[in-house]
Amino acid sequence: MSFFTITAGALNGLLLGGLYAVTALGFSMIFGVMGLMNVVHGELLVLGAYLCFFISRALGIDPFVATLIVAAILFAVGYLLQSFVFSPVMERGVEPALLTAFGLSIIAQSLFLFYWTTNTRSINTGYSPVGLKILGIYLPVMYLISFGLALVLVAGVHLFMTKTYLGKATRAATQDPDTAQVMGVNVRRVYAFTYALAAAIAALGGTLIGMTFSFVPSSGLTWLLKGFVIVVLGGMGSIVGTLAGALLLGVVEGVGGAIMGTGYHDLIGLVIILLVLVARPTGLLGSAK
Amino acid sequence: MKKALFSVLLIATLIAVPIFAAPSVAAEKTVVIGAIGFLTGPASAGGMAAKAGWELAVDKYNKAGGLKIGSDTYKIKLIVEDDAMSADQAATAATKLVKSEGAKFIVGPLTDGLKNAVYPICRKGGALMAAVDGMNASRALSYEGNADVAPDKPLFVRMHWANDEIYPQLFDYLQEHYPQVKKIAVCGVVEKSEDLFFTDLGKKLPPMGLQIVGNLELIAPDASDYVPAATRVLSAKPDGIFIPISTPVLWGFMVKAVRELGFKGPIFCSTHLDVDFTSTIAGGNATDIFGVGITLKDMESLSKAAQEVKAEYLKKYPAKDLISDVFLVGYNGMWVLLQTMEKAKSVDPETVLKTYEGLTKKGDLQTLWGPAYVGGKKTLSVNRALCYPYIIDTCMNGVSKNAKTIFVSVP
Repeated sequence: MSFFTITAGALNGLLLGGLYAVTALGFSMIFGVMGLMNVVHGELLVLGAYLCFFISRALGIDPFVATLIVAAILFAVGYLLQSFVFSPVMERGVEPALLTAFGLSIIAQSLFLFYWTTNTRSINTGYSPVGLKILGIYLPVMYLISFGLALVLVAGVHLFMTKTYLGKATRAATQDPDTAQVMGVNVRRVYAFTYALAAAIAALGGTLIGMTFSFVPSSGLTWLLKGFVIVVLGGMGSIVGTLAGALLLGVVEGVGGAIMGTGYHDLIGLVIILLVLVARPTGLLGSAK
Repeated sequence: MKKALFSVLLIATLIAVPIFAAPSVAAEKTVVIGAIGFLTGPASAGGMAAKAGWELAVDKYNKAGGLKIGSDTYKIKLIVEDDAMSADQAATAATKLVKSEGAKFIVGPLTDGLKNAVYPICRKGGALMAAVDGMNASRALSYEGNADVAPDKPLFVRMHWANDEIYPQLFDYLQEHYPQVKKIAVCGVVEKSEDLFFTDLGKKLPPMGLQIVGNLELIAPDASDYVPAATRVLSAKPDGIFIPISTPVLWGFMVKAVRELGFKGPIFCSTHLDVDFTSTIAGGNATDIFGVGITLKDMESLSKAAQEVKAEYLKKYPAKDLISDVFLVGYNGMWVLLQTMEKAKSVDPETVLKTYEGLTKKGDLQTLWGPAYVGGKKTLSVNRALCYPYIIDTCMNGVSKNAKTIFVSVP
């Protein structure tokens, strides 16, 4: 196995980590702010992919343009879900909310299957299967786009959280919901907004999944598990940590795949994660609560 | 006197009624054929397509009055069960079909591993199992768990080719259309027989002036990212890439990944797949890919019989479900079985088996692609594999065609 092949694997993995970051960001936000393990997040990604697939074809527009429409739809869906489904249930504790999310996940998969069948779909454009040669290494265009979008998105969310009133209110609600409520923050609305924003980000994640890979009704679980690994690795509740965790996972999988073959690259990724967690249980950028 | 007369008339009536009421013709006969396929799960589109093909073949016979077995006519009762690609469920389905439904013929299941689960149940119940889909590896590639026909597996016949029986023709096509290709990299889904393919290729390719480069690259069936595998395959600097065994999507994703990484050579596959579906997975503009399957984008090039089956499909099923050529494979396999039963003039599985083994002249059976016969005595030790014409389909610059008709013979 040549150094060139390993380098190519690492570089492709790093870029792929950008896609992982976008798909995991919404999950991280909800977990960080509300403490809710949003197991329906995978289905939000898949829904985003399906909506982008159909809207871009129906309107004859680029998938990234269609994503703006899909993001608006999922924003509304997320807001309503949190306001009317999760919010009442969360008052009774974490377990009911988790079970509710689990039930919603099953319902969503069944609906996808019923309406859209099991046919494998992917969102194709003229540029999505193209590679660019940089320094002798071919890099898939979609990996480059995903990486760029991940940096922009993470920076944007970070700035939002630190510089805007709503972002500060969200952080306050995360740290101490009761005190934040007393201080005039409408915690329920903050949670609803957070969920809605996470769902809108999932729309972009779904588009990237559809353009880079493919999807079927049951694809959500794979991405949910990856998101969970990334969030734990990067530090629960840390936006920048999510990016770091995703990039690390991508690199590890890329190098592991280059050395040992794709049959083992998931295993290698998980072993490395275990080692990181042994050394740093709160994750790369997480803080002890 | 009157009483006596009345009694005689009563007795005479009681005797006469059963005699004159007896039907002058025999009651309608029915033969139960069971079928097993994956109707649920991620690959269910293929299973449902096979089911559609089976149903269309049975409907054709039933609409024409039934299956003519000697002087009798049988209505065919087809019962299809789902195995969900699980051995347990396949065994349960087979048990239900053989024991509860009385099926004497079982068509399917559609994956090699499940055939091993179903066959013992069929054998014990005296039912003939007919494999109508492609096998990953024939008996000629010997390994534990090989699911192909064999002398020690009576009541098991095959109506489709195995990947190792067809790939030599793919390499002939490669040399005809890509004479500059000399170095071949091999990759495929994780599967027991892939190693045997690799070894077999290592022996067969050098005399053709070709060489294998790199190691066999195995890819998990649920992989989502193919770039690492493509990177490893391309590190050996091949001119062409061969995939002996693919999942429905692996070929398409490998095409996409290697093209993204700058590879321009041909990528070909010996698993039965519609090349247009592969092109869709690869990004819609695939080029220089070829394999063995029937592309639905070029139906006009096919036989009248195949086009009629497609027309019947569209009358009965939604057009949006017509995404796979597997319905033609399912139809063909069922049709061959029914022809054999007619020739055997019997619905007894043993008799049908013996008849099938004796149909060794070209034209003894008809298929959607032309006349066929049964072979395999030399390579499989039994005459139980269908030898028939098939298609190499290609995709060049996004345009899919049924490019060449070949004949798959199993000596």
